[in-house]
Amino acid sequence: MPRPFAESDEELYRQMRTGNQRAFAALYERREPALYRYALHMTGSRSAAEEVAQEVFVRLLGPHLHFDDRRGSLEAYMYGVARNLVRVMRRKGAVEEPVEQSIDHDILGDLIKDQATAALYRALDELPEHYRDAVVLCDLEERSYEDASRLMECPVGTVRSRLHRARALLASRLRPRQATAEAQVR
Amino acid sequence: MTKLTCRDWIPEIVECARNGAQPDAKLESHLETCPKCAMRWEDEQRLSSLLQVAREAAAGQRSREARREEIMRRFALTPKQPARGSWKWVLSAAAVLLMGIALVYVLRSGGQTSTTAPATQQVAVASAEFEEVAGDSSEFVAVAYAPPLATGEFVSVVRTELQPRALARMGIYVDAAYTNPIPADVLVGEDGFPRAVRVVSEVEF
Repeated sequence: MPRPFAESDEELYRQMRTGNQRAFAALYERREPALYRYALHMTGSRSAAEEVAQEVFVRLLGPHLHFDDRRGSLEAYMYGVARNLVRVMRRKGAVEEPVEQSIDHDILGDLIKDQATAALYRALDELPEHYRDAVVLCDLEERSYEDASRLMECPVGTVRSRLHRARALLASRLRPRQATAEAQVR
Repeated sequence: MTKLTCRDWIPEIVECARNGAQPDAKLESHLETCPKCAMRWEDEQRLSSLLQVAREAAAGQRSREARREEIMRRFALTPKQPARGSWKWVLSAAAVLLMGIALVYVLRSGGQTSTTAPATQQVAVASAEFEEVAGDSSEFVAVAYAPPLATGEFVSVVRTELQPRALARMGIYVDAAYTNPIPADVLVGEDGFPRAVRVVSEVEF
């Protein structure tokens, strides 16, 4: 997707640290929506996702930020912060409410969608973190393997194998009961 | 040709489902004969549909204005770091200023007849005639811009060292590569202006 801004994330970050509000706003507009969606998929909760996305930027403003552009990109750093925040939230049991669904005129369709999506998020929730990360980034955020590899800070092959394994686990958990019974009979 | 096992087919099944593509002929043929892979193919397609619904739900409208305003307020209250680049500009400006001062100093000192205090013998000559003082006039070179000596004016012969630049201003050619001061006798009128110069150095310049 073509970027409307010329500066890199790292350049915007440098400028915002010196008080450039335009640079901060540009970085926020560029990264916040994706960070929110990432947190939403990782937690299954809109309010938790809002909190995580906001907290990532609050931390960027903090005096004790440990971002070093020699060690990786700012984007990867921000996703790492978001991942840690999600981990802490889950450990504290702060993630409870299910994902709200978008408004649709078809009430039955909504119901089915809601139940199916809720089931998906329940199954996602039960996955180990590194498997969930792969599904969220590659399948829900539709990032390439290379992008996901940068954000997860592991090789592309690892991302691929984690994703395939995660999908196998999700698929088996989401398989309809009838199909499971048939499979057992076979 | 090596026969592919189910383990080999799984990555293709997964990527096919992820991309919403249909299996090619070889995979199709395998799915027809392998119940396990056929089930995996169904599972993957179902999962991909669910993921699509979840993506659409997450992309739904969301009110961000309040959050955005809050973070911008926080930004306005955050103490800012000085721009790293501003130190560069300060140092650059200081360097330019120092160079400017040095240049002015060099130019002003280059216009003078000598860079060192002339440890010379001043010779007060009774006769002010240039030719008398200068002796063999071919040794002294008259300074082009100097006003003529007045009748009866006393002159002094000052032994000093002149910068090549100063000699050049007096009309004496000096190779640009030569930068050392050159010993010379300067004929100076009562007004302090040099009237002629005679180089005493044996060194070729």
